Amino acid sequence: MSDFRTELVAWLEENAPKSLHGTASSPFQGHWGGKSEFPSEDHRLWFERCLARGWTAPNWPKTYGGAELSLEDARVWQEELFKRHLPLPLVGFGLTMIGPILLAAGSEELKAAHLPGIVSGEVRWCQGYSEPGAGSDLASLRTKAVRDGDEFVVNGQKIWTSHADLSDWIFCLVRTNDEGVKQVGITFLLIPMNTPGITIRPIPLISGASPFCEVFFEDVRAPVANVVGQVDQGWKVAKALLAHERTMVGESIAAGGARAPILFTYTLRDHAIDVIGTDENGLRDAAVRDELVRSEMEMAAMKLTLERTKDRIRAGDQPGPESSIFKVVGTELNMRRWELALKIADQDALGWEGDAYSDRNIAMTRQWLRSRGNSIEGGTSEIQRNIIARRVLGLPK
Amino acid sequence: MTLILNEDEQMLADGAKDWADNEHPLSQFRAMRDAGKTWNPGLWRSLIELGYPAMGASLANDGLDLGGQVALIEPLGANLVATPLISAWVSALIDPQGTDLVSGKFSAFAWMEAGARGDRTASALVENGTITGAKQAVWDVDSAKAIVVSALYNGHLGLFRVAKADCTITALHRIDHRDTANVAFDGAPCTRLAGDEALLNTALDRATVALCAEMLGGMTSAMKMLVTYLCERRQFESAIGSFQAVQHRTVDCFIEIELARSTVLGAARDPTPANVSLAKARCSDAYVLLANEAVQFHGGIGVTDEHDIGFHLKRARVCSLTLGSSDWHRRRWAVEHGY
Ligand SMILES: Cc1cc2nc3c(=O)[nH]c(=O)nc-3n(C[C@H](O)[C@H](O)[C@H](O)COP(=O)(O)OP(=O)(O)OC[C@H]3O[C@@H](n4cnc5c(N)ncnc54)[C@H](O)[C@@H]3O)c2cc1C
Repeated sequence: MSDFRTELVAWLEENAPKSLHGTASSPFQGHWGGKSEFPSEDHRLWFERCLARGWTAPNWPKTYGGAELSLEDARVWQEELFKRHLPLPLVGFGLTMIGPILLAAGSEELKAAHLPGIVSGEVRWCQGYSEPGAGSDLASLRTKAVRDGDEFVVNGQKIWTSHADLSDWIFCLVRTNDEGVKQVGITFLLIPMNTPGITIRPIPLISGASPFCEVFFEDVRAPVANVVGQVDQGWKVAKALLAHERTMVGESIAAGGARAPILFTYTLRDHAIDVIGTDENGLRDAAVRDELVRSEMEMAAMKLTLERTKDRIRAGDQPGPESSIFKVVGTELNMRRWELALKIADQDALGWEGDAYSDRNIAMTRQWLRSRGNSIEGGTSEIQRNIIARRVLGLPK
Repeated sequence: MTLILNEDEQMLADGAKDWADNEHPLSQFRAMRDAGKTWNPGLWRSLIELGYPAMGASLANDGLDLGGQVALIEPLGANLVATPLISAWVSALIDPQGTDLVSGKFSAFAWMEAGARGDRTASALVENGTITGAKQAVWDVDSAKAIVVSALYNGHLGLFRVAKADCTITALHRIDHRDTANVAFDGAPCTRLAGDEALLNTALDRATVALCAEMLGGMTSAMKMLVTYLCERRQFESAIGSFQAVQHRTVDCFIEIELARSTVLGAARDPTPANVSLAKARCSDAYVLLANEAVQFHGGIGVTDEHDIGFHLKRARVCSLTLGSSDWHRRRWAVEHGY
């Protein structure tokens, strides 16, 4: 065992509350920071103990509150947590999206202003990219920012903004210039959500949950100092962030996908065996068995591909647009798996609520409905395939 | 365990690629096929002189390095180089006395029987020092010095060496034009070798990993031919590669190769039955998909003998049904994981 692993295992033994073992299934499970509350006193304890070691942002610089772990040790940290199904002390768009972008492209002032708040979990971020008229064709966005001295005045509307109602800040793409090609003239701007002129309206989903919102901007003032990168040059920053988002989606799904607590350790295999039963040939339904095995083998192949990508990064390669394959494979696989779960459950899969259906079956059905958004959020499957076709394979326009 | 080639392996891979591209472009395979041959002794001799057979088996201290084999075989698979390299490596395991990788001496492995559909069971029988039975589609019989046969002996599976002169050898003419033969034994004298069923499984699993690497080379080469053609060929005043229906299917081909590559490295680093089956199932389906799509997007020229892409279509089909189909390997994976 590496020194770090030995130290970590001993530390977890001492410090990870017993009640939290076995309560998480993926990198999306954990404390979201900001206004969100800790579900229990143990969750708070766990968070605070990790924070004290810099382990809410394990590989970030110590100056901002991280632990400056190497990539290798950061992986060990994740592995040991997942092994125990422990929740991450902290998750969210601050850690996985805007943070890495600021670290790579932000000014010293912006880093000092925002990174510590992310690490400490005080500030939760949301992503203001999509608009009613600008989805896949994101660069056609029209939310306008007009300069007025040291400030921008923002007017327009964002949509599908996940967790906008719970967030403290939004990183936003705004139009600062109408001339020339549409990719030029976009600016990457950070705005506090409590600024006067911002209105938020949650949108209910087919799953019954309401994780995303419309956000309206009416004469919202934000300092020019809040621009990441250069004014009018935000498109490059926006795209770099999307690459982080896509790999993260793949990783999350490989680790089991975000799912309701009641489904954490309940695998598709358990589900099939419970419902269908086995005989001397294995699962009693050969067609389901074949479909299940294909799905499990694809999952195994995707996990190996994520591992191989990490090995390449460690060996000095830069991750490029091929990160889109994780978005495509990960989400489409996840969606097929929930469909298979429903097929296995048969009539029990069709309940919305009520005593006739078990909590687990309801959770499964809701999760299936939620998964339908997987191939849309973060850039649709079709758009990912366009990206791979042009930027990886070099196919002509 | 790392899923990329290490420095030594990368050097082997680069060398093999240079050699294959310079000495054995696809046109060489066509020339061999046109001459009615199934392997090229001169080519095998140059691989022996380069030391490839010995290198693939000597990188690791147990003499069984799969990483080196994968590195060497992939570039050869890309150009459809027909040599008995994999058979020689298998021979080093099952018949060490009958194998000399430095001079290229090896025994062919006759294990599959008619109707077995990938299963490794044997009904060939050894009694009183002689063997009777028949084996199907044995690789590289022509270039081998002797034949190792899996057979029943006192109710157990064992491995036996038989002289080629004592067998009835029927060369097969298959779609991929490789050296393959049916071999029959009718009371042929045989020598018992040390191995048992476990060694047979180990040897076939390792051969499967090497074959997967060959398939990886083949599918990568088919992909390259496909993308080149999509950029060149114009219809409707545009390159056909600009049509989205074509692009998306090509992207799915690329994704399949990426996943296949990970499974091959995974199996090379840790060749458990489950890992090997994961790789073979994936590679079989991926190579066939690549060949099918590449032929489709070449249009009419793709189904002519004049175009090389058809060679991949045929080789993919053979590889996919060799050493267990994807169905066979999915079934084994399922059993290994208790489904
Ligand atoms: C659960 C969820 C969470 C989200 N969270 C956020 C968030 O936090 N912040 C944020 O900014 N956005 C968020 N989004 C928005 C998401 O990024 C957009 O929905 C997505 O980019 C697609 O845009 P659209 O909905 O306008 O669809 P459209 O762009 O209108 O697409 C409609 C259909 O047309 C297809 N299509 C479009 N263009 C092409 C093309 N060139 N080639 C082939 N097919 C094409 C698409 O693939 C799709 O199938 C979220 C979405 C979901 C579902």
